Formats: sequence, C-alpha cells, structure tokens
Amino acid sequence: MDTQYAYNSWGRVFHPTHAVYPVYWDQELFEIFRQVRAHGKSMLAHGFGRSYGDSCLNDQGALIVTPPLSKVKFFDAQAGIICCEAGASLSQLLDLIVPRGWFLPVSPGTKFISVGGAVANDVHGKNHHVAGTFGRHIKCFELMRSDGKRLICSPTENSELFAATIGGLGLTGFITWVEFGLIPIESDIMEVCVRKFDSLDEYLRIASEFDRSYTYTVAWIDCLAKGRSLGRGHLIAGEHHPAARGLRRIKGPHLPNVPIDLPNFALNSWTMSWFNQIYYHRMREKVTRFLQPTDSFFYPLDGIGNWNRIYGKRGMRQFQAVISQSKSQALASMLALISRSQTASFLAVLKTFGKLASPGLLSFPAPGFTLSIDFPDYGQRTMKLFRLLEDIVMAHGGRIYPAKDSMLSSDAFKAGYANLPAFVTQVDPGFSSSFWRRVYEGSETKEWKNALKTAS
Amino acid sequence: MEKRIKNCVLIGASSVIVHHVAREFARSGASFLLIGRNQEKMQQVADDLIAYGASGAELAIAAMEDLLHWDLAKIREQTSRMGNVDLLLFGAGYLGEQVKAEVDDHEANAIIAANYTMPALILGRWALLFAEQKDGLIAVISSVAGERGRALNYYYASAKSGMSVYLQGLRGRMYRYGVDVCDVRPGYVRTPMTIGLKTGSLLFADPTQAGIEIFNGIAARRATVYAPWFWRWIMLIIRWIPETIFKRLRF
Ligand SMILES: Cc1cc2nc3c(=O)[nH]c(=O)nc-3n(C[C@H](O)[C@H](O)[C@H](O)COP(=O)(O)OP(=O)(O)OC[C@H]3O[C@@H](n4cnc5c(N)ncnc54)[C@H](O)[C@@H]3O)c2cc1C
Ligand SMILES: NC(=O)c1ccc[n+]([C@@H]2O[C@H](COP(=O)([O-])OP(=O)(O)OC[C@H]3O[C@@H](n4cnc5c(N)ncnc54)[C@H](OP(=O)(O)O)[C@@H]3O)[C@@H](O)[C@H]2O)c1
Repeated sequence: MDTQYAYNSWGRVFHPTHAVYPVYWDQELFEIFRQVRAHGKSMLAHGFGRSYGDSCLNDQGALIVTPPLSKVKFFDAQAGIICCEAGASLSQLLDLIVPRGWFLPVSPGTKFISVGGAVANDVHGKNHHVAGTFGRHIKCFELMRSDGKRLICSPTENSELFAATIGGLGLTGFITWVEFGLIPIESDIMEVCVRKFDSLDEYLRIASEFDRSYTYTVAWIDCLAKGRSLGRGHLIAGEHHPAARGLRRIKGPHLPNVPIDLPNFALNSWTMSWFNQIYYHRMREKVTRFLQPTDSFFYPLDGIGNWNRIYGKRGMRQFQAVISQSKSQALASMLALISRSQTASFLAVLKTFGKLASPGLLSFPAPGFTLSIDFPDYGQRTMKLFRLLEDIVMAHGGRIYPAKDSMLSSDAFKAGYANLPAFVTQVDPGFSSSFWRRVYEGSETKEWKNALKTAS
Repeated sequence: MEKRIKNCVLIGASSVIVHHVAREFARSGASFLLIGRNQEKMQQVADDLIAYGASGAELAIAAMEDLLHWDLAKIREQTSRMGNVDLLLFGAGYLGEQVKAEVDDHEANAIIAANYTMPALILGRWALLFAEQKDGLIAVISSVAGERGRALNYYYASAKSGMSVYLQGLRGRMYRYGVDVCDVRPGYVRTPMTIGLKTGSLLFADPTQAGIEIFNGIAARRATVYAPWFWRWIMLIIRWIPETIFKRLRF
C-alpha cells in the first residue's frame, strides 16, 4: 500500500482519504483485491484523476491507481488496431501511433487521461457527430471482478457487462486491457477554420453546416457576454491535413506548470470578463484559417501543467449537460442564467452531438447540444446556480455528465439515465465510488426500488 | 560519431526503469535479449517492446543467482543469435529494508549481494565478451544513494557505492578495447521499488521521463548519467555538507 500521495480529482473540491494501491503488473491485481477485501473496504480504479468531481474518488475506501499499468500488448500498424493495458495514457499512445500514421478515434480535451478512464466515462470528442463516443471503437476488453474472475467482454461476448462497463464509472470491475481501432492520418498537422458568431442564434444557424463539412467541430462561448451578445463565441473546425511535413511528432508549446495554488482572488468576474473580451475580439476577421499541430488543436490546455490550480484553494466545479436539439430555447435560458450569475470562467464549450448511438448503458452523449462550463467554487452561490441549471436540464429531458459532476441530485441522475436499473444489476459488489454513494445509494426512493424490481 | 545501438541485452528486464529505457531503443528498431527471473513479467515487457518497434525480443529465464554460473561460453551461446552485443543494460537490484538488515544478517547479505557482489561477478563474465568483441557499451544502474551514506539506507547505499567504484575500474580496463562503461545514477523514480517511501512527491520522477533521460545519456556514451539531470546538482550539495552536520540530519 502506498501512502505517498493524496489522490484527488481535477476540481479539487473534495478532500477524500484513500488506501492507495498503485499497480505495476497485471498479476498483482489478485493479491491487491484480496488485501482490500480483507480490510473490509470497497475498491475503485483511478486513472489520472481528470474527472472533475467524485466519480474517480472512493472516500474511506481503496483506490487502485492504474497509470503504472501501461504496457502495450500489441500494435498492428497495418490494420490500425492497438491493445494496451488500461493505465496507458492517450499521450503515451499518441507518441507511439502518430509517427506510424495513426490517430485516436476519439479524443477528449486533454491527452492526460487513461484508456481505462476513456472507457469508464465513454468519452467524446470534437468528432462526435461523425465518430460517436470512444466506446464505439472498442473491439474488446478484459474485466476483472472483485472476486478475481476475469472476463473478456465484447459486443458478442459477455455483452451485458460490455455495455455496462462502457460509461460504467468504474463500478462493474477493473478493466485490465482494452483493444480498440485507430484512424489513419497523413500528418501531425490540422487544417483549422475559426468562425466568429455574434449570438446564440447565429451559432444555431451555422453549426449544422459546419458539422456537415468538418470532422472536428467545437465552439467556445463567451458566457459572460450579455443581452444581444448572449452566446457569442468562436466556432472552431478542423480536419487532419494531408501530408503536410510528414508524420514527425510535433509537441505543442510547453509552458511551465502552475506550481502552487493561485490566491482565490486571482480569478474574479473582472479578470475573467477582461480575458473573454480580449479573447473574443482577438479575431478581427469573421473567418480565419490556419494550420496547427494536432496537440495544440486537440489539447490546448495541456501546455500548462496543473492549470486547475489557477482556481486557487477553493477549487472548481464543472457543469456539463446535454439537451435535445429541439430545445434550443432551454440552451438560451441556461446561457442567460450563467451570464447573469457572472461567475463562470473563460472555459465554456458548446458542441452539437450527432445521432450515433453510444454503446454504454450509462454513456452520457445523446443527440443534442452539450454545454460545459467551469466555475470557481463559490460555495452556496455556485450550488444554487447548479440547481437552477439542473432544473432546466430535467424539465427538458436532458442529462448531466457524471465525469464532470460534483453536485448532481439523485433525482436528476435517475431521470437522466433510463438504463440505470439494468446497469445496477451489473455493478460489482466489491466496487464503489464517492459519486455512486452520493448520487445513487444516498437516497433510494420507493418508486426507484420498484423500478429496479421490474428491471431485474 | 555516434555508434548505433542495435542489439541490446537487458539483465533485470522486468525492472520498470530498464523497461522504460529499452522502450526508447525499441522505437528505432533495436532487438533485445531479456534476462530475468520472472517469465510472465518479461513476456509482457517483450510484447511491449515489439509494439514500440523492436525488431526482436527473446527471453532467457535466469535470476542473478543463475547468472553467476554463466561462463563466457554460455554467454556466447546465449547471444549468438543476436550477434554483436551493442549494449548490456544491467538493472537488477534490491532495496531491501535497512532496519531489518541492522538486526538480520540474512537481509543485510541479500542487499549487498543483489546490489554489489552478484552484479560485480556477473559483469566480470560479460566483460570478457566485450573484450573479445572490442566494441559495445556496458550500462549499469547504480544510484545517487551511493554518493553519501545515510542512516536510512546505508546497506543499500554502500553496495551501490561499491558498484560505482567497480564501474570506474571496469571503465579503465575496457577503455583499451574501445568499450564504454556507463554508470547510471537515478534519483527517486516511481517504480515498485519505491512504493510507500515517504519522500516528497516533488522529488519523484516518472519512469517515462527517467527512461528518456537515461536513454539520451547512454546514447551519448556518457560515463555517468544522472536521471533526472538535477540530481547531479543535488548530490553535489549533499556531498559538500560537513560530516559533523550531516550526521545530525534525518532524511
Ligand atoms: C481539461 C479536460 C478536458 C476534458 N475534456 C473532455 C472531453 O472533451 N470529453 C469527455 O468525454 N471528457 C472530457 N474530460 C473528462 C475526462 O476525459 C474523463 O473524466 C476521463 O474519464 C478521465 O480519465 P482518467 O484516466 O483521468 O480517469 P479518472 O478520472 O481517474 O477516472 C474516471 C473513471 O474511470 C474509472 N476507471 C479508470 N480506470 C479504470 C479501469 N482500469 N477499470 C475500470 N474503471 C476505471 C474510474 O473508476 C472513474 O470512474 C476532460 C477533462 C479535463 C480535465
Ligand atoms: N526506483 C528508484 O527510485 C531507484 C533509484 C535509484 C536506483 N534504482 C535502481 O534501479 C534499478 C531498477 O529498479 P527499479 O526502480 O526499476 O525497480 P523494480 O522495477 O522493482 O526492478 C527491480 C528489478 O530487479 C530484479 N531483481 C531483484 N533481485 C533479483 C535477482 N536476485 N535476480 C534477478 N533479478 C532480480 C527484479 O526482478 P523481479 O521482477 O523478478 O522481482 C526487478 O526486475 C535497481 O538496481 C535499483 O536499485 C532505483
């Protein structure tokens, strides 16, 4: 057992205590599970802690830390298939596959996440409208249950556990390795087109056209702008560049880490609104086109290590929800609410998810708009705002992303995830998380129990 | 001019540090003979090296205790398929428990044997092969710990220190054969060996980073490689602290 590090999540609003077990070799897992069980604790896999809230935490329980378990089992550079242990980071894999002409089928906004984390949250990227979630590209994986049993899961083998584990928040067992498909590229460069929009209405007019012409699209929103500018921002679209400068790996710029917590006052509504003004107006033309290294296009924030420390000791919370495309009015009310609060930071992202079905029972992505926004944690104020946002989401049949969440109510979770009763039957009794206890086990209502009964 | 390192022998091939150094050689198509005592682990390392681009990865199952019995003929036989050995990377080692070693000769012996006696004898045999080849590089992982004795780990540290002095001598002996000897001195690296050590996490390096730095040092054929590099300067200061003060420090 390791007592060296305090493991936490990206938002740093929780202060958990864990028994920590780093795992280097697959064959050690059995003994680790045995020890955890002997101590009467529950367990949870923990990758790079890039989830914002408590879904990767297990307060008072055991954390099995996966990044050292990162060997590649095989890489078929002809067919574009890779099989690696679950702790391998996307960053590690990119350094291996890009020089040989391959890229990740789906990339979230940071490359410092593990493959296991990508599966357990069924992550999405800027190409969701054409590629769907990460889970769609998985051929198979091995799951080890707390009793030591190992199961190969694929769409045809142990398919129920396959569907439960993708997006399964680490609750169905420990993923030891994952085999998934890659996409071919000809260079490590992106062709980028940025289109400024003055309002949410304009976004709604242009977004679908961009989605038709580009593989990667995402919008940055100035969520401090008010009135007629509400919802203004930049739509960023990209395409892998054919054969510019070959496949030599180009590392994005590397700025120094943020070594300490900045004082809480460093980020306030003035500094943020000032930043957003500059950022928005930085682009003078309506449309700009340029070439950019893939790392800078996909992972703009990774250049600054530990940037979450900019938020100071109070930490931060992210809100990410999805609502159906027919509910653009709800999107507008959410943006109005956020703008009125003047507490959001500069990181606000809007994307339209496509129609490709997510393979996991609890996968978050569904067709519609997804909005994700970081907030410094102002305690009660932030909590109230999140409740109001959640009400809008619930009223319009949307759902909230557990990977980002730290405040979701039990009701909103259960209402948002219709497959929850089927999922629960696949949960490993030896696994648990702070999120699960807070959002699911914390408050079992009577109707809910009945729903469960009919499901099983 | 840099000689290309193609054929590599790894002793202690399941060491996390050795694996990460080997990965960097694998990227440019090196081929490997992995020697170690745990077949299951070594097979996983071999598969990983192949995925990273290695042109071959064979296993020989042998603990250091077994390698004591490998004479030159056996070494030639084991490496014959590979041909000329460009690099021998020796990384097997044992941290042990200092407090236990202070009262238990068995533990004390195990620490000294795994970090000095056995490597010294085994390297002696392999030196014959390199003298015959008149070419190649011997890289051995000692430790920054060997640069000054501390109450915390002096059985381990003194054995590593002995290894560093051994390597200086071996370097002189091999010089006339055109064989280089590299003393690799890591600082704290996150590996199974350091699980549970109560040292500030700021001082710990990631094995990937350490692996790249050691690779660069070996490829440049430096006599001493610190990984991460800043340990050269930390150790410089630590060596300078007067003994009257040093003996009072607890770290
Ligand atoms: C800057 C930034 C940008 C982001 N952008 C996006 C984005 O665009 N799209 C998106 O979808 N997400 C995004 N995320 C969220 C992130 O991708 C997910 O939270 C991801 O799951 C984190 O992976 P991790 O390795 O850090 O895992 P952790 O956060 O440590 O764990 C995540 C979950 O995976 C489980 N898990 C990890 N390893 C295993 C295993 N071996 N077996 C079983 N379960 C396991 C854990 O139990 C936990 O439930 C972003 C996060 C950040 C910080
Ligand atoms: N990690 C650090 O912070 C650090 C710092 C300075 C120096 N070092 C040195 O770096 C080297 C590699 O260590 P590591 O950090 O990579 O730890 P590691 O992964 O635990 O590696 C230790 C290796 O030594 C092998 N070994 C031990 N006794 C053996 C024996 N009798 N016969 C054959 N093999 C034996 C182990 O084999 P099994 O897998 O079969 O057990 C394992 O491969 C060691 O010499 C260590 O002293 C490490």
